[in-house]
Amino acid sequence: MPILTVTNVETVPGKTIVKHLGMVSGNTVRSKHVGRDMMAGFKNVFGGELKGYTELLNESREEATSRMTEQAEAVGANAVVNVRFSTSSVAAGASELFVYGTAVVVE
Amino acid sequence: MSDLIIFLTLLVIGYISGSIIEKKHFKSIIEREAQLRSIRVIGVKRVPERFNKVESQLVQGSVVISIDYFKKIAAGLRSFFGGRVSSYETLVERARREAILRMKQDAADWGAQAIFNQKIETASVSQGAKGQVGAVEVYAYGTALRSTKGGQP
Amino acid sequence: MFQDSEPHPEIPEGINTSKTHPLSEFAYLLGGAALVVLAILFLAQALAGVMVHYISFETESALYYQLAGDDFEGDVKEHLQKTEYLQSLADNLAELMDLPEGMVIRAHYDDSDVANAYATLAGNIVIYQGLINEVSSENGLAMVVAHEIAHIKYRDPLMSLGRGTISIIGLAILAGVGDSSAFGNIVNITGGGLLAKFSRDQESRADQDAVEAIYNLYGTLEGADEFFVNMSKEDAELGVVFFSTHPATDSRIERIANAGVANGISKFELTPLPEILSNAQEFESIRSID
Repeated sequence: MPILTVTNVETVPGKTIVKHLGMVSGNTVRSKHVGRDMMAGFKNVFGGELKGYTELLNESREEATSRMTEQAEAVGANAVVNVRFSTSSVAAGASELFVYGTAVVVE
Repeated sequence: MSDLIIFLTLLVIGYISGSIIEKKHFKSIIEREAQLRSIRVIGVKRVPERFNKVESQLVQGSVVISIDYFKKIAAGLRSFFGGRVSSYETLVERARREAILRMKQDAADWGAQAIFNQKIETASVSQGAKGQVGAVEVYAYGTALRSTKGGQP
Repeated sequence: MFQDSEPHPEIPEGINTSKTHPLSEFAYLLGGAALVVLAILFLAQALAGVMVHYISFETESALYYQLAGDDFEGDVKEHLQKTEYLQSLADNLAELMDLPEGMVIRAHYDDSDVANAYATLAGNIVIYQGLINEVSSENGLAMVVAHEIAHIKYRDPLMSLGRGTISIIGLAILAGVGDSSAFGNIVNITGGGLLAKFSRDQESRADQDAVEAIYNLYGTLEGADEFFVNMSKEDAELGVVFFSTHPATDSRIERIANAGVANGISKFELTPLPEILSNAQEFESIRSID
């Protein structure tokens, strides 16, 4: 759980933005292949949730988000607003998970 | 000949197992949607002014659901003739509703009453070099709002 | 926060999914795919027939010898006598088999242990030592030779080549179109099954002609099924004829037996195999005595 307030709307509801501190971001690169999940081949016959993969993605996102909040703290913010997630393909079957937002000071 | 037997066995296993898992999942989805109905999901970017005695937090839910062997073969056949790939429609529907439910649950655990500006992202996970779909990933996220203690929004 | 208002209304189920049952849709698609595959194969068979009609045996032979040359592995000096024997046996049978004008059978011997024989382009047939080991009389051997000659008579080698080539090209295009190995699987299974059926028809027809030829040459069908009986003992038939290129061995034995009954034959003596064929080692030792 992030220590700062993180929202994906333009403001922090109920508070006022007093200072904008610019864009902050965090990213991780992960491999896209189902082979990562030990049960994947099995599951591809039977169907059902790939829990191992869900966890992997959650961890990736948490890591990317905490890298972003680390950047925000470093510039002196106490909140990050207008957060967006973006995924893009990097070569050889890997994709990058990128989180970015605006670091702000709110009161 | 043994190829054919293996193929047919996988097909039957895939169909039976896939349908059972899917039915159970839809049942669970409908139940939880009823439970979490009180948490509003409102897709606007600006939180209205009147919600000012609130705390906010980013909430998220994600799920990765695999295809089964029957869906794969059916989609392969369909890709020759064209048209709606109905075997995948239920898959994507399940994944989306599950992700939204998990996001709502995340908000409920935190004590929120509403989620604003929810975004949904869908990606396919590829299976091997051929680039066939092995699983569908749906990620839902938004800003959850809860009333501050003793406050009236 | 929202004490005064109702929660959002429920959305009815089933709008974002199809109403068709997945199994019926699957059956429908599968049937369609199978039909397309069968159409290609029947077309291939028809085109091969046309091709065989327009390419005469002489043309086939000329092209074959130009492209493939004259060599057959077994045609070496040590086996000359065996090859000559097989050739004379083939000539005797060919005389009785109503071959078209200009069709020439060339028999070859191969000393490999494989229990097989085959007919190929330009009238060439090859008999393996392994097959000779499985028969105990000339009658049994002659059945196989006559069978291969029958294939030549009906231009089966060229037919198979043409049908196979056209099918492979057509099916490869089809299998490559749908972008999954699943479709490729189905194409191979349906296609394989039908191609095997065409092959079995050819083999049955060859068996039929061979039986007649044997009866005309020896006056009896005794011993004709030697090879099949021995192979049947060794086979473990799964009972699935769909994919085999040949009719089930038992049914081939039955056919020979029934032909015998229909012709009301009596027990003649079997013609023995010549010494030179009976044992390769023996032959070697005989040669060294000279």
